[in-house]
Amino acid sequence: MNVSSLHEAPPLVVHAAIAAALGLAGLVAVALAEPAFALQGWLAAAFALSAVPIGALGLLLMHALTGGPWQRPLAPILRACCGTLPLFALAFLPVILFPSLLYPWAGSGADDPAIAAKAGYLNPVFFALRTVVYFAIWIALAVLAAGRADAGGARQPGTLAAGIGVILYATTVSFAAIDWAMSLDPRFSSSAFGMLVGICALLAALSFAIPAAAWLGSPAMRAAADDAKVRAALAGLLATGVLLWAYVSFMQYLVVWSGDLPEEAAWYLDRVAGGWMVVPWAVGLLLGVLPVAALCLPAGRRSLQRLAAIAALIFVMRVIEAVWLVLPSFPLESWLQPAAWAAAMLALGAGTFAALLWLWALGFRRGQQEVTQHG
Amino acid sequence: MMRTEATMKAEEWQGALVAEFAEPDALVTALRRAREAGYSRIDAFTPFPVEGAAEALDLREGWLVWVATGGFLAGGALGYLMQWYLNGVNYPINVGGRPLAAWPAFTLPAFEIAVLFAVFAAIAAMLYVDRLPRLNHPLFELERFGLVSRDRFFLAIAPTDPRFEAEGTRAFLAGLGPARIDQVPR
Repeated sequence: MNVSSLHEAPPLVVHAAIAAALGLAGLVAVALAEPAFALQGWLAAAFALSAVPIGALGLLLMHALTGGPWQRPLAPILRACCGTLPLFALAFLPVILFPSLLYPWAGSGADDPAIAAKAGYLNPVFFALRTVVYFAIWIALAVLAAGRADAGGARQPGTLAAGIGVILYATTVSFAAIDWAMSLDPRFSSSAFGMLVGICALLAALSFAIPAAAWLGSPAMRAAADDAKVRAALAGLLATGVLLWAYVSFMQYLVVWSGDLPEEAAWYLDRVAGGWMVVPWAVGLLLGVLPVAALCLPAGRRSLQRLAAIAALIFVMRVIEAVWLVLPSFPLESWLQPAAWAAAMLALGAGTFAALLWLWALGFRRGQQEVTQHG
Repeated sequence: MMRTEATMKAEEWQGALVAEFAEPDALVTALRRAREAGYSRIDAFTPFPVEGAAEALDLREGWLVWVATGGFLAGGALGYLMQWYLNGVNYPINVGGRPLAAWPAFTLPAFEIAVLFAVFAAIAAMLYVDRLPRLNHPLFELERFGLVSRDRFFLAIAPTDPRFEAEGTRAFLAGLGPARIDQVPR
């Protein structure tokens, strides 16, 4: 199974679409009983998974500025990821329509004087408007990043446009992180949070694109990605991403620990309460220590398959960590909640994956047509 | 089995045949040809790291990674221990009721010390492999070998190599197109 055969026999797309439909059915069933539970899961899934197209956009823009051999084999996947941005814009529609089900500043907590003091920024209308603006900017940047094919067949935006794009990108991603995830606990504030989520987005896109190229890519794409220089560059980028993530998330923790203020400690206490305690340990070991050790040892970079396995581990742990940034803010009231969260993850994950495969195959066919026309 | 400079005795180079090249690419090509011809006790000497030379020599100094890892772990442990002793035992200060053994605060300095020790361990291992207490090498007997630190690239084949023959090896080296060939005195 590889992407070149997708338009003839698309079993993976069909399976993903069926899984998405099942997840959506379960989610709708929960939503009829308890809409807040369904929306909680939906927000967590949308926040965790939108990191892939957002990060893909960042990688494409940054590559236009820095260059490097790593981008060429991944570019078709990264562009297909960017193509799912409109889907995620739609996915955030229920979130901006019903913020009162999720955010204390829009619902039960709005009368609290400490939260009411932030109402100039944290209010439903401005929140919805901001999310619309973020997606408008990202989709415009994605069109820019897709670029026009030049004579050599390479697609790349100009340096000036990409430079302005990267600045816009970093600002919007940081604000989006504050709006979607950090404002779940309106008393908590961490100046590192936006940067943390931004780094995580780049890491999510990279750790998604590498296994996708290795396991689903056409033979030519796999061969291009298995070049020793490309492998070394990808391993270096992954290790850099993981180290940056580890540094910023530990610094945030250290600052909160040193400050020792109740409203900031509460955010961490929610996230180590009960079973959630497993997540920081698992993430520290499987997203921090293990990938860095594996990427630093020569054995970890020896083949594309090994690199893809490490990247897949990073991707899975990244999704778990992103979910952990969101869901512990909601008190656990019913067994329906975990079921709704899982259904939402399945619906949005499988649905956007199916769309991504379809876009990728479309891009592949268009690329082939361009090759035949030029050749 | 491939023997490299790191695992060979310095005395093995007495009587070695040394080919001098003016260009790094010529040296890499020569290294590959020598490997293909079955020579295993060979080494390259260059004024700067030459891309492809390590691969052509099949150098796999994998153990260096583990030396650095050992340095990292020792440095990290020492870093925690030092801070624990200073802040918890030797000069305890109560900072706003925080624990004296404050591992979150100790982690960043411990990490820095771990990285420092990893680098120290790797450099110390390199100097050991370079046989540091020993200050000379049989190849220094060659007058032109001093150019190795300027702009010349040398390929040496040790006489302990199973394929080494005084005349045959010299003819083989001549076939690689070197600027000149010298023999290290015994």
